[in-house]
Amino acid sequence: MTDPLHREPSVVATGVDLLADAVDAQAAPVTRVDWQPPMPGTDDDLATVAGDRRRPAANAEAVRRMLDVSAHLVDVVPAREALGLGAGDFLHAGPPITWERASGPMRGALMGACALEGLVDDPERAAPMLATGTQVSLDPCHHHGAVGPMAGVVSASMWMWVLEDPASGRRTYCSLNEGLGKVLRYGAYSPDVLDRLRWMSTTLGPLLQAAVRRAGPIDVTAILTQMLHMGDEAHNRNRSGTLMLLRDLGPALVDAGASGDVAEAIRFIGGNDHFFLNLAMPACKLALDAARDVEGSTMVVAMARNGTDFGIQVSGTGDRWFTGPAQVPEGLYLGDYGPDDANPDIGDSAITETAGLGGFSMAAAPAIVRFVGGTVPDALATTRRMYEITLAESPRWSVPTLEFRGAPTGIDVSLVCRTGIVPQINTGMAGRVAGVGQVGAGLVTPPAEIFPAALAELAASADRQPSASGARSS
Amino acid sequence: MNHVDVRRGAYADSVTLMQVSRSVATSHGVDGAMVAMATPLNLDLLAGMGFEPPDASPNDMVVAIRLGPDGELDEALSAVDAALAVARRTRAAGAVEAAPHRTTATALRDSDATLALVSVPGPYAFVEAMDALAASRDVMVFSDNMPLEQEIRLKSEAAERDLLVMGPDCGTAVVGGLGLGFANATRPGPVGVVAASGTGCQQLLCLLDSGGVGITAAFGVGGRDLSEPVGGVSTRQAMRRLDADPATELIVVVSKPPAATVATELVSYAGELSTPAEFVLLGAGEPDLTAGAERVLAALDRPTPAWPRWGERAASTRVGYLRGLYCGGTLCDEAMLIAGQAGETGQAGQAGQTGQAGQTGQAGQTGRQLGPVRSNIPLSPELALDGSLTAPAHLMIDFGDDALTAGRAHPMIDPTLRLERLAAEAADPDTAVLLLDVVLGHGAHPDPAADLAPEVAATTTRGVPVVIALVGTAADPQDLEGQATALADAGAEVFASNAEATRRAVALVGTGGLR
Amino acid sequence: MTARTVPAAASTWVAGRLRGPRRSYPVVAVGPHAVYVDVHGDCVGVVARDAVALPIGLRTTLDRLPDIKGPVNVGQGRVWFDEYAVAVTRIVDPGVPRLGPLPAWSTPVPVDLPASALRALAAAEASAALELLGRGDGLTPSGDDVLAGWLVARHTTGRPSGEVGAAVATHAADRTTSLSATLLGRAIVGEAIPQCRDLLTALHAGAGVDGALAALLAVGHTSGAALAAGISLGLEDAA
Repeated sequence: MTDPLHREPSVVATGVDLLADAVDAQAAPVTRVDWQPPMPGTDDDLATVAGDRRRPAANAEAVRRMLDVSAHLVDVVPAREALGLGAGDFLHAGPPITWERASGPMRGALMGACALEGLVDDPERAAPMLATGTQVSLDPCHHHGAVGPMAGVVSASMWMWVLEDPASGRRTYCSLNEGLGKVLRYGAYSPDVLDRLRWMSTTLGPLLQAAVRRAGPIDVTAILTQMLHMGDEAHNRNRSGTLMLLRDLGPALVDAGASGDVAEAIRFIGGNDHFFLNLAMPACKLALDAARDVEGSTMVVAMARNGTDFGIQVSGTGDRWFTGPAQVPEGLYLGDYGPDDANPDIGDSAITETAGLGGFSMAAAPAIVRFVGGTVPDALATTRRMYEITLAESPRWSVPTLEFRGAPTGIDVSLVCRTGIVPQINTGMAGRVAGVGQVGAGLVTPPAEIFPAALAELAASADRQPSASGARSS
Repeated sequence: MNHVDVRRGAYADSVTLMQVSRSVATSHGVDGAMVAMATPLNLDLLAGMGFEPPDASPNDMVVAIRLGPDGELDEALSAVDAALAVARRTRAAGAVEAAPHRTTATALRDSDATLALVSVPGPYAFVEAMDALAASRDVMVFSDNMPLEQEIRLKSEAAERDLLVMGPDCGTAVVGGLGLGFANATRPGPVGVVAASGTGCQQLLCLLDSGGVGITAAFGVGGRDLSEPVGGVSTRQAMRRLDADPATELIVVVSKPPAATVATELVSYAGELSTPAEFVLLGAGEPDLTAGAERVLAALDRPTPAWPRWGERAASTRVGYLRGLYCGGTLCDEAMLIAGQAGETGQAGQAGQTGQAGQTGQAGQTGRQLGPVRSNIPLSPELALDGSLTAPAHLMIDFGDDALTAGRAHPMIDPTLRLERLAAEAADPDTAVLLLDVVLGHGAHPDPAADLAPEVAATTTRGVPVVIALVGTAADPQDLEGQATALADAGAEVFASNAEATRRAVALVGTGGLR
Repeated sequence: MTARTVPAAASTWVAGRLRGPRRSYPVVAVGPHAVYVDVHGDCVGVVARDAVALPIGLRTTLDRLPDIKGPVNVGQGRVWFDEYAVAVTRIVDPGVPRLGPLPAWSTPVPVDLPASALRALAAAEASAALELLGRGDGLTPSGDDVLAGWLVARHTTGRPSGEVGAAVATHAADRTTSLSATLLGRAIVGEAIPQCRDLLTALHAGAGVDGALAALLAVGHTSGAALAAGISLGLEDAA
């Protein structure tokens, strides 16, 4: 390597401008860091975590495990089979929630699901049962290897996409996307909604199962790569993914069932740009789950909302959720809707941002500003900002408008606390009244305080031991 | 010989990969190469070039190399990695309107910076400095008030990675001719400096420069490095670097005398190095910085010049007290050691009786000392000044001390407080002589004489002599000669050597009326 | 009009060429990354950040030089063009340190020069200088680069440049470009581009030679290869 004492110096300067000016004046290159004090109250924990001997290797390991995962669609099976759900077992989006605290869309979805499973005839009659908690159980999708968009309610008869990482055999699951408008995930539970769900279970699910088994595993991670080069970010814009899925499954779908059913299925899928979202999400979860439980790692492995709380989980802190109030997104409204109509942030779809897609890859999908607000430069600036709080750049998902730079991936809790930059999420907005449906789309962030809380937990378990050799070695 | 490997999950765009292919194909020992995504088209091309097409999908990157007769596979693969890394960096650099980075960590990613310079407030410096070490860079920590346990942890990390932490509280360094912090414009030469003191380092560098001797580098190690708990980690790393450098002929360590155990280890460590080392340890009974500089010149077989001085000698002595007003803490320490007794009260003359009468530069060479010197950085606790920082006594004040720089810039940048005190001392009938330092160099005030000369003139016109130690090199941005002339024209006696300035100031204190 | 000061890093020797009254000098080379002028037979230049760091350059942090419209002046410690004044604000040392004896080493890359001249150079004969000076194309012909590499290698191993050095000193001005002659003059006292220094220190350390050689070979079109060839000849024990 070049002689260290005599090679041309070039400096990264953090702090007083005067010192950087002096380097400049001596004709040496200097990069000035735009430093600001960290989130209040985090100084000590930041120092503790920075000094944790395990951290650099732990974060490198967590990133490596995440990036090594390839998600392949291998099957479609009912939830009772895939997840062992009984008739009264319900999964939902976000961190744990009770009926009392649940918002409109979440309640509506649970009520509809009770009716779907035959626990009640009329969804309205499910409310008391859900309130008392008899005969029914509620648990986050995340606790069962699954994710769900919006209310994300999963019940036994719903058919689930099965994604698998061939190297490890691990699997994640997600239900089939119902479509737009009045659907269960927005809390609607009218007879139309339930009829559609039944059709999806009796016809669509089995058809897709046959097609997938016939076609062989489909590389969802690779579809995501191509989506970013086609102007989609896989959270709010999924059209190209939906079309690529149809292309990949098309021939097998044709062979899989009666032509009438097949046509109806293709019409159903083709009419819903968001259909692929329900594959993007479990693909991201599959990658992030591989990075769980690396001791000393400060990497976020899940971001999820239940319509009331926003929660994160961090690799180095196990299964613990760090929660705060879910925010109402800011953005653009459909029709006559306005801010008063919007429910707080809801859904497991923030798993896409956690993996580096969605809001983190906004620069790949500048057209999204027409839906969430802002300008195209804002979209580029958002992705750039996210590089300041992430550990790595994805080697597979790249952003053309940034000269094909890898998407920012692996959110670092300590970088969030140091910079005050919170993860940026692009999201649809649900109506706060159950069943209204989507009222708009916009930008939202987690409540900032959950990151210092996670940092404090990381600091509490940090390895503070001095090295065996101590300061006086060598 | 053909080599084909598949990198799953790696991606680069086709233009980049064509550039990489061309770069590898023309490197030493390579007859042909193709680096591409494994699309069916590219796999066909690969087969056409005579390579065995691998089992790969369009999401994988294929690296195919044909080695020449004297080709080495490792070398060729390194060339592939290097070319890909360059492409990544160029890509990042070409980004439209890149906003500045927010942390040292992100600024160092994909950067070819050779070191980090951290000067954020003390409680935050550790985190930024650890970023630098994690990115395999040396770091200079200008910030002070870093907790001791953080300094220990930081230096432990640096030792494990064979990196250098300069600091914390390191105000001066010179690397590759680049002055960092408050540093003077030096010339290249055979001396390597390791300094636990900023202005001590600056005085040494400037005297050596005046003697025609330059440096390979000056590494600051922070004021606490040679303390017992830290144990000299950075000092040893800096010494090792200098020892390994063929252009460094002599290592000089500048510091206050370290803790006894640390001192022993240090001397023993120096003995293991192949480059000779000189220790300039400024403390009671020890030679001063100027004597140290003279010893360094002698070790290099260079003549010791007459140290520069400017201005006319004051006409006579004056009864009263010596008042020293300093910006540099170490220069103030040196002045106190020379002027008074180091650490012993009420016993004039002790400091000079260490039995080395023939040596220049010992306190006592003037024939007497002034007795105890009060200070805000006293040599012993009973000599401390109270909050008013005044006393009917000889006193020296370090205006760079924390208490005097809360909420204001360092006096080397903002002279206001010292100028006010100068005016006050000039008006005090008990003031016999004023002694000041003026430190030039990068980071310091662009024209200190402009503010100081009028005050000096006002003082000397009243008959109060002013003695100035002017620490600077001919190449410093402030124009050393111009500064010296302006101060001399205002009536000051100006010395390049702080030790000489101090002895001169002591000599100007008249004997009548001293306690 | 007040000039915009551009800071630069340069050697003590370069800084010395900038003293005296300000006046115009002939431009010997100009491009987006460098401009060189002939100051009474000594060439000095202003270079952009990533240009080759010739020891005669004032190295700035500019990505590229502006298009120079008017004359180039030197004096009063600066190089002046259009509204810019380039000043030396940091002294750097382009000299290769005295490393003492180094093992013989041969470069794997051949140069297109007469074998007899190269043999004479290995034997430290003055005729080599006369045959190689000015031989080749461009501002720094490859014959000159081989000589420069040889001179630097001799300097670092502590051996005098003898009759070769004397011949270069005497004849370079007449036989080659002033830019190349200046570089040869610097090479006699051991100044060279950083890539030469890195190769020699790598040979001294016995590690990193491949990387250092690759970096040197990447310099210019054939310059790097010629310098490497010169270094190789200079390390031979022959004389």
